Amino acid sequence: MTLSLRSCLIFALLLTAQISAAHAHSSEGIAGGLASGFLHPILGFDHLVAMVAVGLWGAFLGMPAIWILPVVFPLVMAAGGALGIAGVPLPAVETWVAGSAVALGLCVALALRPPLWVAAVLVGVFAIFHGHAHGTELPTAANPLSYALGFVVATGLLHLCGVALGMLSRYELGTYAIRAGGAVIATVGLAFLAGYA
Amino acid sequence: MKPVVWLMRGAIGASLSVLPTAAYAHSPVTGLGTFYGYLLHPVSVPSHALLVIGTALMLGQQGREIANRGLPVFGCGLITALGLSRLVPAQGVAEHILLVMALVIASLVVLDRRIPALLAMVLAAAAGLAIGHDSSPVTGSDTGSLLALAGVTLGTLYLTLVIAGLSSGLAKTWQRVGIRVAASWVAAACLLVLSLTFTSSSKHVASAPETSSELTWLC
Repeated sequence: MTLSLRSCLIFALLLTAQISAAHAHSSEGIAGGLASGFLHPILGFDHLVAMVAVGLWGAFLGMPAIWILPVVFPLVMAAGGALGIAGVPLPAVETWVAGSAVALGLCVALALRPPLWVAAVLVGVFAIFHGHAHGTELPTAANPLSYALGFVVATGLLHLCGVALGMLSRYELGTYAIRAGGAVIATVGLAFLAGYA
Repeated sequence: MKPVVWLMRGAIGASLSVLPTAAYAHSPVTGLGTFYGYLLHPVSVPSHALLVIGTALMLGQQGREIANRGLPVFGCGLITALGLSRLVPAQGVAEHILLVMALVIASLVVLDRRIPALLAMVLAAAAGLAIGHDSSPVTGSDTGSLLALAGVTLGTLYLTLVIAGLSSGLAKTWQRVGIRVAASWVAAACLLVLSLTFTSSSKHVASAPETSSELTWLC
């Protein structure tokens, strides 16, 4: 199974344009509902880069990680969200979220290929903190159900963005580009950790 | 066609179909009239949409034989509940009951295991009954009520039929994973809101809606 470089780029560009379309609603009032839930992971840049990194790493790891990840991640994230809703405190949630961007970015940049269970546990731990961050905002949403649906779908689509970009790794040049992207993600995470973003 | 290409096209198509809807959600619904307004009912009430999607994915995932039997069972449950609502005023179904049903059904889809046909039928019937019971029209005239009933029935059955039909035809590994991914999104959303509902009720905070209604869920 091969994909042309052109196809990968078209998919990546279309998905990027999709994110821009979501931004268009911000001026219409995002007090609650699907739009605000959808925008939450996208406007939170630390969430965004970490989710894309999950997809990128999944694509690097290949089968079956590339498929297992998008199934497991939303459910683990929901469990983290439930903790946030219930008011169960987790230590330094925002630090963990930024740290996840650093760790996952480095995994991509260094092209690490640990056993699947190690990758799953690592991503699962981060998913709990991402879910917790989303979950604490759920009670204030105008419509919690549509808000939850929005951010779950947005998270899944960000994974797909990462997977689509990660497909470039089958080309030598693409591999370098993806690893450079991982380094950029790690740098962004570091900027959040250092308080520059 | 390559599986990944199909996946990407599907994801792009799905997300593009969602976002324009968000932008124009309000004006068409208010001006649609009774029939078309109720035709959109299964997608304008989030808990109904999740339960319909979960049930349809479950029936489709179990194969054409179970889907062929389950869809009529679902339809019978729906029509029975809607018909009864004309005789006995319905109080609606608490949103968390619909969400628990959607969570259970979506979790079965995520697990991707064969389930007994009887269980699939029971779940389909229960979903149809619950959605029908919670969709009783609130219009004054008999004509309006009949139009509303026709709209809800057609809209719900059409949505279920399309999703179940599409998913029953997906046999390749990556396609079946796509079904599980969609179900995991449904399950995750249900799990989050159920957490909120039960946490709110345990804290006696009236922030969670008790019954589903025409919520302004698109923005």
